[in-house]
Amino acid sequence: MNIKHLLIFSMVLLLGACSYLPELTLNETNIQNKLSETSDRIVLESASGNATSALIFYPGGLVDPHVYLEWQDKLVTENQDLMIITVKMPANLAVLGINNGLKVMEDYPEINNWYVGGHSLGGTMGAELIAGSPDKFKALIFIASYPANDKLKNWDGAALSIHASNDGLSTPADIEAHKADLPAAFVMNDMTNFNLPLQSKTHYYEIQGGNHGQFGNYGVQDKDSVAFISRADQQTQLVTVINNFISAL
Amino acid sequence: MKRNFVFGIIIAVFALQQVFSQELLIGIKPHQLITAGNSFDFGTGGTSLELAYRQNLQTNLKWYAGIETGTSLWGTEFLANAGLVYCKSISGIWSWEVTAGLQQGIELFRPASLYTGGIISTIGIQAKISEKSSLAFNTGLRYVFCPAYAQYSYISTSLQIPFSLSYRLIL
Repeated sequence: MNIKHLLIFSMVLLLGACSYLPELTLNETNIQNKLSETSDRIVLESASGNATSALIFYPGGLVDPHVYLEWQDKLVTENQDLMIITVKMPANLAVLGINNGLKVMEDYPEINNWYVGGHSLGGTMGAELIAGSPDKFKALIFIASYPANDKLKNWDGAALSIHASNDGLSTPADIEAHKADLPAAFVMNDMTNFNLPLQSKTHYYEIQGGNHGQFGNYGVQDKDSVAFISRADQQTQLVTVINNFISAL
Repeated sequence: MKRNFVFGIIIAVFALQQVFSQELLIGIKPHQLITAGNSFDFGTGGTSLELAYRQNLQTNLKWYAGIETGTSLWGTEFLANAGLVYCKSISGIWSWEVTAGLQQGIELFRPASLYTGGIISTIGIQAKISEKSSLAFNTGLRYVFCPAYAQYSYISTSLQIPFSLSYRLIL
């Protein structure tokens, strides 16, 4: 952490920034796959440990990185080739660790295909990670998120943007407003409706009735709107669309 | 009567200030990990800013109390620190010290923050840069814990090497 980070952190702290804790404990999450954790990452992989692809996941801003474990575990169960590496961020702010994903990659030389995903601020910073090393990654998955600039507009990888109709933070209007910053848009009308090949395109899927906070397990987030589907329903759609997307790559 | 009492207090405080040397310390403290949870882990344990007040108890012995805030293994934290310092002068400019203290505070979470605590011991060297101020570098060992975080994570304790660079103002 350099002085700039420390100043940003101090400002955030002065504003009373507390991170959202998971609503579920590790026992309640009932992980089915192999879970390991170090100071800088949480790794989920199948018990066989034969993953050939990996998703580097950046958590949302001021959200504890364990809040995504429930749906991540389901995704690994459905796709045993996939390892998910959730990167822990200083102060739980991905803006302070944009390139931390690159350090993680060095430890897994057996992985052939690297993807980046992130929720909210995490997705925005994941896009920055790819913008800095576009050839290292094959896909980018935004969850309730959009890029901060148009650096990836001509990127030849595959992008997926999943958002929710009742998201009060990354609203559907926000997602729409940033479509021009990403490769060519294709709006999906169901969870299997991909326009192949996926490269150089951005696929958009909207979860009807979902909201921002239900992409993780941390309760109601400030300024979010009310969901009219359950968290389980929202996360089931999330896992299905991501799995279909990765399978189609 | 009341005015005499207040005047007496002011005189007493002033007199104490002359007897017990005091200093204010502001420092930056990065933490290098040795363990995280039950495993060796050589990552970073966060960086904090420290503000402390020190006062002499005896010739070479001081007590200190202060606050510290910064990033931690679990997010962000706010700590209250207190402890003792044994210091010895080497020359007119240089002196060394050994500190031992306790840390009590909170990890900043919502809906409710979590209790965190630690014990810390350091050894340091201090260089006088003027009549009223000095710079110091300390390092040592720190054991920190956040017991309630064990519900959510495999990592709720850590052994760390703190590094501290501080500016000290003699009052």
